[in-house]
Amino acid sequence: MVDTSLPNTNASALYISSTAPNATNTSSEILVLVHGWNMEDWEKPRYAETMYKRLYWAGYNGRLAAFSWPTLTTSWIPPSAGHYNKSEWIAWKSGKALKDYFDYLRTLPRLAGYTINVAAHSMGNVVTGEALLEGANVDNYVMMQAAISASCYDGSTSLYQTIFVDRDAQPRQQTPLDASQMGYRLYLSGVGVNYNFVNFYNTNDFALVNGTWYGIPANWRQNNLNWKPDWYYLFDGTNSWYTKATNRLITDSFESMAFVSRSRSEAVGAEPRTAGPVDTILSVDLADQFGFGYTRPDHSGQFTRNIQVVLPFYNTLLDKIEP
Amino acid sequence: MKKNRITILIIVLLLLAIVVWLLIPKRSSLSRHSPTVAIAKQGTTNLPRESPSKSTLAKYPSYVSNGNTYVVLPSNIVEAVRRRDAERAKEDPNRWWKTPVSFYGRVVDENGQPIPQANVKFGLNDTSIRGTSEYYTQSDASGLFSLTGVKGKFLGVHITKEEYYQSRLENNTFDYAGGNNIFNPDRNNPVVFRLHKGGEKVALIKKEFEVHIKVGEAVTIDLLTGKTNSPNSQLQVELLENEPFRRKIKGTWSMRVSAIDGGIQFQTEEFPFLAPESGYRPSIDLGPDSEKPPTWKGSGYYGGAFYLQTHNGYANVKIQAIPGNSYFRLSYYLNPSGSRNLEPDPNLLFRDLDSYNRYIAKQKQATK
Repeated sequence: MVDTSLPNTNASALYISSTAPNATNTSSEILVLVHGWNMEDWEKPRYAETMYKRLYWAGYNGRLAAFSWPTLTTSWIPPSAGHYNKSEWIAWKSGKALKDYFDYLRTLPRLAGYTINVAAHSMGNVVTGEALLEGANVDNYVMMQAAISASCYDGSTSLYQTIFVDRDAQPRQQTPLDASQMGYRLYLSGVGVNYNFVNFYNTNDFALVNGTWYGIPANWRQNNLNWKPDWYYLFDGTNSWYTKATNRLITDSFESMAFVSRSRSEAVGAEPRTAGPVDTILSVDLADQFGFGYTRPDHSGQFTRNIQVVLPFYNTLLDKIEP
Repeated sequence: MKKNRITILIIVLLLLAIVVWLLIPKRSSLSRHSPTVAIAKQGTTNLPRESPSKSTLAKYPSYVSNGNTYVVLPSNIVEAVRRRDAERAKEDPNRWWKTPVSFYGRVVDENGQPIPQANVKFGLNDTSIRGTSEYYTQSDASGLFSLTGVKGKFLGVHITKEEYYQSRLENNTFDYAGGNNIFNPDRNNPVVFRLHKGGEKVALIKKEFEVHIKVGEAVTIDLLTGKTNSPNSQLQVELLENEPFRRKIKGTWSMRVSAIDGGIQFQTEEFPFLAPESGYRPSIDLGPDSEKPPTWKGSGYYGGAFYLQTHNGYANVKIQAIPGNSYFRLSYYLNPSGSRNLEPDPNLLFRDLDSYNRYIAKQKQATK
């Protein structure tokens, strides 16, 4: 069943669906799935439905909602350099709509007293991070293969990666570091959820660390290294500029993070040490515990594999969000 | 003739249009209906953002148009950006994935003896269409194997051999470029993979389920049926502390696990296939820092694993818990035959004693 009722916000461009529980529903909880980058509109509900089925077989009796945000998509053509960064920009901007959606869920009489949880996949964690910063009231948050800088949450220099730091030291490759310069570092360090804040990571994830797409490198790390700053963007040590035709000063941190700032750390989904608001003790190694590897299908294995294989994953996910 | 030409021309134009349409990166229908400006409004936050540095603006002539601030940057700065972008356009983005890859390995058993004819599967992240190419080989009489003459960035090595288990604790992935720990292959110093030799696989009762419990409460569990608070229980669990994680505050959790009619001890092996003969005690306490098997790391659970000795047989039991939850996850292998062997035969796992006994009876019948 699809619930298309929307909160009265300007999120009308967003398509939000929620699957209702079966008649035997007894659990007062709702899980909101936030998809990642490069998801076609038809794929978004398919992933949500698949997740709901897997959760059902793992014993879940709560509700599931899917939040859709307008990521750019490309089917078989390798993504252009700006494709990923533009999607990240949209992801940051969609955070407010997600926050509004959580607020809306809290106002629904039929969800009164419900635990509200979120599971975000890949770039969906950018949307969710911003929603939390905007003040979203969430009980538990599971980050799955999160494509967002670990330094957003944890500013420790021990998380810095030499390749990123070295790149930043090269001529004309300097980028903003701290949130005060509209960089990533500590941008989300103040956020929190009511209970568990968990990182499901894979240090060798295809899309975060090692992958290529039809012969072209297409992974978070490579993008962070090579395409920050993006074409025409410049950081002069104090401010960031867009220099195509006219020289526009960057005053929006969303634009700055998406197009200019280079993370000095790995993505959260590839960095088990990510702390700050993240409960490191509860974080889960997808490779070691569930056999997620380093191939392309592994990045979305929880959505594409059959229940016999991924049941342990969903058992663990439920353990992190169920009271 | 002319008609045919026109038809061919139309077909060619149609094909061209399709190709052009496919080559244009597509946005989702959402973005088509929602101009960027509208989305930007949604994202507008009232949180403090850094305003542009006044000193910077004072440095250059500036003007405001449509809410944006523009400046006249010195030409050398703009030139520098152009130069950087031009240099970047010349870079080969595939360079890391074109790194020559070679790998030399050796398969041995727990005593260091070579294992011949072990099956080796390599997975190499490269520039192939799938992004990962697979290669297969076998170890020779000395346990040696290798991979050469290929190109890629990141290599995974997976070894299988009937009756053997590959350790999850040994590193089996290797970075050849772009990472912080670049692997240097050495023919004279092959990477050693130590396989664990299994023994006789046996029929076992295997169960996994959630057990609901409150702080200060003790629950008993009958491992033969999975029923709680049954008079035939072998295991008792008492939840001592259970404070959830709350906004960066670490939860507290502790539990006492007791054997009702036998003994219990921590299990800290990667391959817990043989329950110890001795060393059992009446109960053990589990907490955040209690002993755990090496494979527990990265599980994200509190709890622990242990061997249980009962009048119904030996068991390998695991308790997984999250502070604050009203339940814990219990999973175990139980050998009701009385043998200490706990190495599971994947085809002979039973959910309770009845189904286990039916299998044993059938086996006896077949033997007669």
